[in-house]
Amino acid sequence: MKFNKLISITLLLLLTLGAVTSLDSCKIKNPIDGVKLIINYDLIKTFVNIEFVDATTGEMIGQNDDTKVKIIISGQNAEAVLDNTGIAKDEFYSTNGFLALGLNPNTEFVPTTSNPIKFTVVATLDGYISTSKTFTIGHEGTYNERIVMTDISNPPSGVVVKEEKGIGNLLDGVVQEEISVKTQNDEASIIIPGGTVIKDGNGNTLTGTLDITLVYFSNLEDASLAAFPGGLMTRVKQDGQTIDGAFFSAGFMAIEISDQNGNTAETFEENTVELGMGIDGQTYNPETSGQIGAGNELPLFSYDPETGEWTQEQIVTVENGTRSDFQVTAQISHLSYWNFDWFWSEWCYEGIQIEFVGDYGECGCTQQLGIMRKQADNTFFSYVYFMACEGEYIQTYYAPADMSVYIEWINRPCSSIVVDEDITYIENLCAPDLLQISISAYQTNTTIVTVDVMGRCASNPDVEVHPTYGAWYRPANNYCWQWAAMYDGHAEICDVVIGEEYVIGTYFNGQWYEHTELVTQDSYIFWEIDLPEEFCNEIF
Amino acid sequence: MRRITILVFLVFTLGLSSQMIAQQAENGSDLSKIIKTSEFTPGWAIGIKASTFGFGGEVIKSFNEKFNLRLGGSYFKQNYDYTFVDGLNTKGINYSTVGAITLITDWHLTNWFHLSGGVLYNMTELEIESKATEAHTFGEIEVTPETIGSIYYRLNPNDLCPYLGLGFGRTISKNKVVSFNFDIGAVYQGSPKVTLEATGMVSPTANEDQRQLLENNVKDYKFFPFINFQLGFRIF
Repeated sequence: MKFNKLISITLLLLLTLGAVTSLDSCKIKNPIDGVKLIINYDLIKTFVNIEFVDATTGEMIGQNDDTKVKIIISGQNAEAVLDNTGIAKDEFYSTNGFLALGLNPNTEFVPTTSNPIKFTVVATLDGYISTSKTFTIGHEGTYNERIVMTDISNPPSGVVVKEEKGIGNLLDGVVQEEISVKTQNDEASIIIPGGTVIKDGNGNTLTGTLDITLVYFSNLEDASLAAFPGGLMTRVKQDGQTIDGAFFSAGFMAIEISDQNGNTAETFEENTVELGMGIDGQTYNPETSGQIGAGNELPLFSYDPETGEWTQEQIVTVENGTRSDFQVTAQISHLSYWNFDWFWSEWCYEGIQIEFVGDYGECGCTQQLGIMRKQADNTFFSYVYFMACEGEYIQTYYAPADMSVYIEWINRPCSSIVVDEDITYIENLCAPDLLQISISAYQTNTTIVTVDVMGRCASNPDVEVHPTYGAWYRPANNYCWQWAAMYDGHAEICDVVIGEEYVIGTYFNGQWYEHTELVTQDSYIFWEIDLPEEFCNEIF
Repeated sequence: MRRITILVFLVFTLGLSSQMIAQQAENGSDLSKIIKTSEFTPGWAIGIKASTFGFGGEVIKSFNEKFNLRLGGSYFKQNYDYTFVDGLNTKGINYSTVGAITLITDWHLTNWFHLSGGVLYNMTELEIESKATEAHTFGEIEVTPETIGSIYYRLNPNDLCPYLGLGFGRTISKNKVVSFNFDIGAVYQGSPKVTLEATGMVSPTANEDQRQLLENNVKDYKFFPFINFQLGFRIF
C-alpha cells in the first residue's frame, strides 16, 4: 500500500512536471525572434542639394523622362564630396533633375570658416552646354543650389546658337581654305585660317569636313546669365593661383568643332584662330565704374570642362564696333568656352547676416528664392536660396566685397509664405550688419504633415534605416518643389493645402523615390523605401 | 542592494554554522553521538551544492524523519560572446547571472526519495550588450564604435518564485555525518521582464514596440529547470 502510494505520487508529479515543461517548450520562441536592428543613418552633416533646370523651359531636367545629367566633382577638396549616403563616386548622375551630395564628415573634411571645403560641380549632358558651379563651404549645414543648363537646340533668350554642318575641308588635318562661322546677327564669330592644323585631345588630326557649333551668351539677359557656365560667382586661375570671386561679364562664347568621324577639336597649330564678339554699350565695366568704352582692357578666360575652372588667358582691348556698339577680337590656339569678363576678386569670409521676421504660418522654417542683381548694371548675378527659420539669422559666407546688389523675390506658386517687399537692397554684402526682411503667410487652409521614412535592404530585411537627407514636396499639379529637412527618417512638411494632393520625393544614392498623398487635416505619412543594393552592401 | 544584503546574510549564516561545526568537532561531543547512533536524530546540517542556479551552500534542519527545511543560496556569473544582431561588425557580450536564495522543505516518502517544495528569491538575470568592437567604414565615412553605439538587453524573471521537485538521497543524513542529495524540478519564474536600451546610431532599436516584442518572445519562459547536486554535513 505504502509502495503503491509512493509510485502514484511520483508518477503524478512526473506527469505534471512533464506536461508543464513540454507544453512550455512548444511555445518557446527564440528570444530575439522578429527583432529589428534600427539605425539612424545621420553620419553626414553637410548636404549639397542641386536642382538641374532647363534654361529655356524652367523645368527640371529629367522631370518627365529618364534624362540624367552627368556630374563630375573637381577642385581642391573634390575627395570630400560623396553621394548623400556616404559613398564616393567618380561620376554622379541626377535623377528627376535632382542631385544630393554630402561632405565626408571625417575630421579632415569638416568645413570651417578658416578651412573651407572647395570643390566644383561639373555638369554635362548631351545636347546641352556643359556647365559647372563652384562651392566654398565654410560651415556644416544644408546647401540648396540650382544649376541652369542650356539646351543647344532650344536656347533661352539671350543665347544664340549657330550650327554649321559639313563645312570646310581638311586634308591630313590641315584646313584647306579659311572657315568662317558667325551667329545670325554677328554677335559672335570664329575664323579658322587656311593652313591651320586641327587636332583632338589625343593629338590626332581631324579630317574631312567639320561640324561647328557656335553659341553666344548675352551679358545683359537674365536667362543667358543664369545659364552662364560656371555661374558668375566662380573661381578662376590667374597667374597660377586659384582665386574666388565674381564675373562682370561682357559676353561668352561656346564653340564645339568636330569632324565627320566624330573627333572633337581641341588645339590649333600653324595658325591661331580668331574669335570675335560684339559688346553692347550698356555693359558695365567695374574697373572704370562706368559703361564700357573703346580702349578698355578686357580679360579673356578659357574654360576647362573637366574641372569647371576658368583660366585667364589674355587681355584684349575693346574697340568701337561695326557689329555692335563695341567689339573684341582674340587669337586663340585651343578650343574652349571663351569668356570676356572682368573678374571681381574681393570677397569676405563672413558676409551680411539676414533674418526673416514676421508670420511663418504653421512652419518653423520657410524657403525663399530670389534673383540677386548687381546694382551697378542691374544684371542677373545669381539665384539665391534662403532656408529661413523663425528666430534665427542666416550668415552669408564668401560674399563679394564692396558690391551693391539687390534681391528680386520670386513668389513661388506653391508657397504661401512670401517676402513682403518685392525687392531688398543690400549695399554691401560684406557689411557686419543684420538685415531683417519681413515675411507674411497668406494661406489659411494649410497644415503640417509628418512624414516618417523607413529604408529597408532586400538583402537584410531585419534592418531598418532611418535616413537623414533632404525631402522635396510639391503639389501634384505643379512642379514647384519645396525642400524639407529630414532627420533620422523624420520630416515635417508644412505649408501644404488641405484637400490637395502632394508628391513627396527624395534622392538616395542616385535613385529618386516618390510618394503621392492627399493631404487631410490629420495626414500622416509612413513611407517605406527599398534601399539601393550598393548602399546595403556598404553597411552589411 | 537588497540582493547583496541577503547574500551577505547567507554567507554570514553559513560562516557561523561552519564555526559551530569546528567548535563541536573540537569538543568531540555531539558529532560522535551522531555517528554512533543508529536511530534518526533531528538536527542541523550544512551543505554545499552545484545547481542550475550556480554554486552555493545550505543550512538544513531536519524536524523529523520525514521533514527537512533548508535555507540556502547559490550564485554564478559568466560572461561570454554572443551575437545579438548580425551586421555592423558587432560583438555581443553576454553577462549571465544565475542565483537564488532558497527556502525549501523536503517531504521524505522513503528513506532515499522525497518531494520538495519551496520558494526562491530569484537573482537570475540575463544581460546582453551588443556593441561594435572596431571602427566601421560606411562608404568613405569612418565611424567609431561610440558613434555606432550599443544595444543592451536584460531579462529578469520574477523575484519570488515557487519551486516543486523530486529529490533523491538526503539533504541531511538520518544518523551519519555526510549525505548526498539530487534534486530535479521546476521553478515557476513567471514571464520575464525585458529591459532594452541602446545608444548611438542604433538607439532607435530600443523602442517600446521592440521591447514588447522581446517580452512577448519570452513570455512562455515561465519555468526554469532546477537540477541540484548537494553534499550535506550534519553538524548536530
